[in-house]
Amino acid sequence: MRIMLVEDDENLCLTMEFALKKVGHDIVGMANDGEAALNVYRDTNPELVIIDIILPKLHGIDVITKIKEMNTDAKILVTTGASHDSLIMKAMDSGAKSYLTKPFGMNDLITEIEKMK
Amino acid sequence: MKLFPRVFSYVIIFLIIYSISSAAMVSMFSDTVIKEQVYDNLKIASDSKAHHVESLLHEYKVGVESLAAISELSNSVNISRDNDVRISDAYRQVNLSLSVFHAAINIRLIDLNGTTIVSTSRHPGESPVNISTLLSFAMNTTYMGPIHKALHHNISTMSIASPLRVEGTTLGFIVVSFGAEDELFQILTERSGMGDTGETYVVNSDGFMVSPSRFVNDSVLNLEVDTDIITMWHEYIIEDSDSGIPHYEHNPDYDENKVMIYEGYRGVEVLGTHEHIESMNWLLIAELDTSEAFQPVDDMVLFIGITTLIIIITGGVIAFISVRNFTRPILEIHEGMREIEKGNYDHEVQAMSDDEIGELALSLNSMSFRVKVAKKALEEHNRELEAQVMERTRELSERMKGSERFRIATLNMLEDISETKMELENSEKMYSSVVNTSMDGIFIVQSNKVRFVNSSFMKIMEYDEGELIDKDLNDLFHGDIRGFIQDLYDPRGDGDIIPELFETLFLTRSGENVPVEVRTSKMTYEGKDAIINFIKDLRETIKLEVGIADALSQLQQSEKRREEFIDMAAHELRTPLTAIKTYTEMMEEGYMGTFDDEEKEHLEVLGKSIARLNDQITGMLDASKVIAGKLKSEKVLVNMKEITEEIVEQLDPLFHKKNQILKIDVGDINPILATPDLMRNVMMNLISNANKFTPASGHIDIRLFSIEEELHVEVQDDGIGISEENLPNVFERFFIGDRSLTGHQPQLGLGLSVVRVIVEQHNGRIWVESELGKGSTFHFVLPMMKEVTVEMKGGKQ
Repeated sequence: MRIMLVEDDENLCLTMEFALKKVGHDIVGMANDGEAALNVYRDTNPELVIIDIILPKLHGIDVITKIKEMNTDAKILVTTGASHDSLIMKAMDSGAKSYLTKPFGMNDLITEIEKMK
Repeated sequence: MKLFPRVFSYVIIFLIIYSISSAAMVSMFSDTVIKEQVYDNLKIASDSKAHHVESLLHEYKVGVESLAAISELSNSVNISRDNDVRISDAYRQVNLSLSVFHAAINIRLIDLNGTTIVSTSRHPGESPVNISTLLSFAMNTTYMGPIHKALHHNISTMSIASPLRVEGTTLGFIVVSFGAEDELFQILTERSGMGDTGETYVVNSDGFMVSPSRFVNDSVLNLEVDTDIITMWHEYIIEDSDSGIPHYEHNPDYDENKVMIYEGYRGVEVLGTHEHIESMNWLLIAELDTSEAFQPVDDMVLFIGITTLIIIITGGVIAFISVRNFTRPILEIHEGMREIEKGNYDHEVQAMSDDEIGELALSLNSMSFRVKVAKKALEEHNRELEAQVMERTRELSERMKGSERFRIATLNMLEDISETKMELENSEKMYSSVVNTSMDGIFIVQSNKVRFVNSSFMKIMEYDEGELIDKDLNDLFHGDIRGFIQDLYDPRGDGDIIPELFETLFLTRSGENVPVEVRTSKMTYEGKDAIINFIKDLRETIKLEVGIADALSQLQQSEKRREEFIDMAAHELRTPLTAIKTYTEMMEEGYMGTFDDEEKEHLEVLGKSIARLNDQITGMLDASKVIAGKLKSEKVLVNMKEITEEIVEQLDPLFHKKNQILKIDVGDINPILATPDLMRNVMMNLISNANKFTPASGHIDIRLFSIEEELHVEVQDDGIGISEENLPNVFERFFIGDRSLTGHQPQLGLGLSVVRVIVEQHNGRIWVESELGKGSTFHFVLPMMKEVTVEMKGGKQ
């Protein structure tokens, strides 16, 4: 699957890239903030976007909304470390298909991606 | 709408609808009749002309055939005879025939080679019908040639050829030419009864006119007629395959009697009909311009229109007069009623008609007369009453003279009262000294004027006493509420309407609007009714209220920021944990090379540590929220027995794993008022701690019972226990138990600090009894619902 990662923690971003490549996914783009995320999405048009809700520059919810405006069929998986139910609900309302709460491990990640297919 | 216009408009509407509908019917009917007549005339004209032409042509044909039968002429082509004799015989006979046959202008005899043997023309030239046509069409029958121009005369002619037979064999032909102008065209150009634009003309199968047009010069064989009627006719001309002569074949859909309207060859709309002339394959057409044909229809429509208009106008005038006559008595009665309404009973209604309306007028007149009589009687009665009243009044004044001595006695009493009044004035002075030193502003109002003020009131209003006394009450108040205040203090009104306590705005000398609280009370001031007002300046109070509101809003702001910070912190902590967890799982799953059993055990420890760290973060977050009162949601009736059993069931696998013996003992307890989730949190912490800090095959006892309307919960274990020095710190935040004894990191800390906050928020208390190495007992107590209250809540009544 052609996947794009949006995560402000660079280490976690690289970790996810490493892990997903190991199981055969294609990481087409990575972004560390909301604005960069939109540019990378436009350039790479990935099949799946894994995105953290709390992001610098542009909030994750806004990024999801804009991606959905560009492509209504975009598949989006959100990740969050805050235990704010309302924030997850907002992300799902904006068009995210599923979510993962941090800390998730490799198994959770792979299972959730399988479900998105 | 008034009566007259309403009735009149109904009549007019009826009249208009009736006249217009009958006019429309008449015009439709006459339109049909007139058109039918015009069509019939045209049809008759074309019919008779066609018949005429047909019989003329037949006459020509029979004439030529009879000539062909004369032996002198047929012998002229009989080569077996003496040449000179047969020619001279033929010549004589031909000239004789020509003089008899008026219409013929030339007769010639032709042999089978096309050679003219005899001709009546002085310049015989070529035959008007060439030999090949003759051989094709005239060998056995008479051939009717088309109209053509004579060679030397430019005269329209037509030639008829017939075979000359000798003993049954055709040896030559007789060709007779006829001038068309003399007879044929005479028939067609005879136009009596055709009006100014009517004509009849003939068209050949090529579409050319073969008769003179009424409107175009030199039309014969020059004018092509291409109108709809010709197009239609052409569709029914079928070439005869045997003879090659076009002929007309009747089609059942083609109605010869039909009269059509179409654009004529002059470009003018015409009404036309046609007849087919079979012997020549011609079409005879009779036409009349529609403008002329339908003139009678237009005239008729105009006539009907004018007639209708006249009917409406005269009908309207008649309706106006009769409706006015009809409604006049009613209007008169209406007028009479109005007069009676005004009280004019002398008015007499003049509506004298001999119908129901007349009767109504009579009854009205009689009624008004009766009212007049009754009214007079009433006036008489009133006068009598007045006289009686005057008599009584006079009697009363007689009696009043007798009461004069009572008045004198009263004056004496009043003197006594003035002495009492002196004493009263003294007490009033004392009273005013109290009033003047009061912190509240005080003023007295009498008849809407200020009659008394104290010094505090002067201070509020920034006026001297002299300026305030006799000031209008309204001038004390803020402009917007003056009218309202006047009503409040209205001395004529009932005293009870003055509110005893209200807030308002006073207008001070400097123009400031001062918010005040006013208390009013009725009193007597200097012997008259008055209102005393106690004024409290609210300026300081309001300042204080605003300050509190600001502080509260700041507090809420900072509370919100704190929550956001906690959420952010949890997020920041969990993000790196995710990376660690992912790597660990990758190693466990074998994505990072293979590990031996010992290394795998280490990995397991790593996994557990991550889980524990996340629990710590969650615990910290929950603790912060509890401490911030975040989880303080609505309290409901909670059954602690159910919650305990629920938690024990959840933790069952853990007890099983360590083979611990668990005992639950529930006494006679009532529900408590609490937040269910928080109670679960408390029980989860206490029971899972007991599980963690009790070795395998240990005992855990849970007891729920009540003492003096309080719920007691005890969780006892025979585990590691807590040392005496640590005991006071167990419920402190971030307390970590004695590591050296347990051999692994204990899980007290955050959990128990949260438990304590929850219990205390529910107005309860918590404590622990423990001895190192022998076990611990955690106690907590919560207020319990009374039995009666429970029943009330349960709605059992």
